[in-house]
Amino acid sequence: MNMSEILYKLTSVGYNFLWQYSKDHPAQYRDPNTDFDAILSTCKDGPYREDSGLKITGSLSIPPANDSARHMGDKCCLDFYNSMGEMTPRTAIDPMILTYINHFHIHEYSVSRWEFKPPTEISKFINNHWFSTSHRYLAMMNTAGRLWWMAHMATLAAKSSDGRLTAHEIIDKFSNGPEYYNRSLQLEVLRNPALLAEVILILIDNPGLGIKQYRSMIMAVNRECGARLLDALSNNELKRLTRHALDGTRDADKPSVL
Amino acid sequence: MNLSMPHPVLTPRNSNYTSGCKFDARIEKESHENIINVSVRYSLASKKLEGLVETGKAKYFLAIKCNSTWHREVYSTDKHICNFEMDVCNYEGKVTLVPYIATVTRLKSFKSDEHTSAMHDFNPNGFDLPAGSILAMADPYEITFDSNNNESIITMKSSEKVDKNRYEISFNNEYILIELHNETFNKVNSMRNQTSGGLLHPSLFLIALEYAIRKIAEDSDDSKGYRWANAITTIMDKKNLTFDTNNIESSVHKIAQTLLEDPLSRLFETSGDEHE
Repeated sequence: MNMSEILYKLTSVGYNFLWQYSKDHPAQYRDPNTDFDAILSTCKDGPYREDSGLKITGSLSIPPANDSARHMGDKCCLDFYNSMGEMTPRTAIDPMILTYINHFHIHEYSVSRWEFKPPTEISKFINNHWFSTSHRYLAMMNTAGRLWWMAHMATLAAKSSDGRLTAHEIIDKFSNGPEYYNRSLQLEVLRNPALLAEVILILIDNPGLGIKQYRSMIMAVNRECGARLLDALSNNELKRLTRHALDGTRDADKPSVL
Repeated sequence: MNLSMPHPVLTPRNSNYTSGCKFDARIEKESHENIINVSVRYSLASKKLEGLVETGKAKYFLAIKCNSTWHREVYSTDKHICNFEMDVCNYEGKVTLVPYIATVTRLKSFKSDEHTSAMHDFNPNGFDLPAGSILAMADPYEITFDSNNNESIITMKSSEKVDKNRYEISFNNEYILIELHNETFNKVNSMRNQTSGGLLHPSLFLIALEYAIRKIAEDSDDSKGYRWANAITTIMDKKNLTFDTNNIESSVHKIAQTLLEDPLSRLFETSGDEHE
């Protein structure tokens, strides 16, 4: 890819055409060599793409994910994020932009990243990973959406950690355990970057921490949100809060006053 | 919706404080290309809480939250006025701004003559509060950002002055303001993201927009010089929308629906997504 290349987005004509095409030719979404340029050239209802106003400043060439550990493919998200330097939270939820990227830039990666397993319906599978206009799935299952948002959250959390964490370390945790990233989207408390950083530090310091304990810890922190404004707390206080929540999962009899 | 907390909180949504005590915030904003300058003026009538702010044990906070972009920010101050900038690139759709007062240190035996007898009975020795404890909360304020026009010309706000399950629309501002009773505002917001309630929010906007377009069609003085009126006429010009002088009412309806980009069809698309 050339430096500073125009990033296009689909028009509604292009989107609808691809959507129908996916329903008629689902097998093309299991073939990493599908040429969507050629396919869209048959669209006669109008222009299928337009300038998104953004530029690609690096390479969007992503190596295919490993069959035996597909989720580890998420590790490349920081390179992807940095190549999309002009993208912002506002543009990163635009389904026309994300769907274009999925089809025209990272289709091969997308095919390798997501394993299609019956009895999942193929149309649902394609919708979730190549299209997904649903906000709930956009940052979780849409391939481009997941890459950008994972890197964005990691970058913000690293910035809030007072130098104790890098974005790479956070992404390492996210890609090794998809649950950690998915949950950070679902729970409002984890949208606080400083708090997310403290939680990741706990995961790094406690490699044996199981998913059940992790969930209990997060729920204990979440309960505090009702009566407290966690954004008002310093990093030290957040650290105290999360460590106490962690201890609470190990010893149910400890008092709950933080 | 009544707000229940484990300690006294000054808010219109409960009666933990005696009458005469109040916490409110006036929020004003001004758009400049990709930046929105926000000015918040806090208004507090509680000697106890004023004392906590003055002695550095509590602060004013404004929590900004956008569900669409998962973005959240908090601005704090120990002054009655706070000014800051919102970068449009972080927001899309509904953005909620909630004013708070919260502790910045641990507070022991928090009690006051301003608390109601129910609070005294509940805990006669006062409340031990950790740092970050919410002491007051004002009515939320909402800004809507839409991709076509940066910041929406319609804003929705909760207000105790409006009767329950009713709405008021006013046009004597830079933007069209829809005011709803607290409970109704919360209901509309909670239903907004569900398919079954997905029509409620755009319906209110459609009603407000039709009123506004009618004022423009009638060349009413109410529409002259306001930002919302200029924005509507600019979009109408861009989309070649004109009034049918033989049937103004019908063209008002059509124009409003076009400007909102067919709210019904978006509801059907949302339904399709959720069933898949």
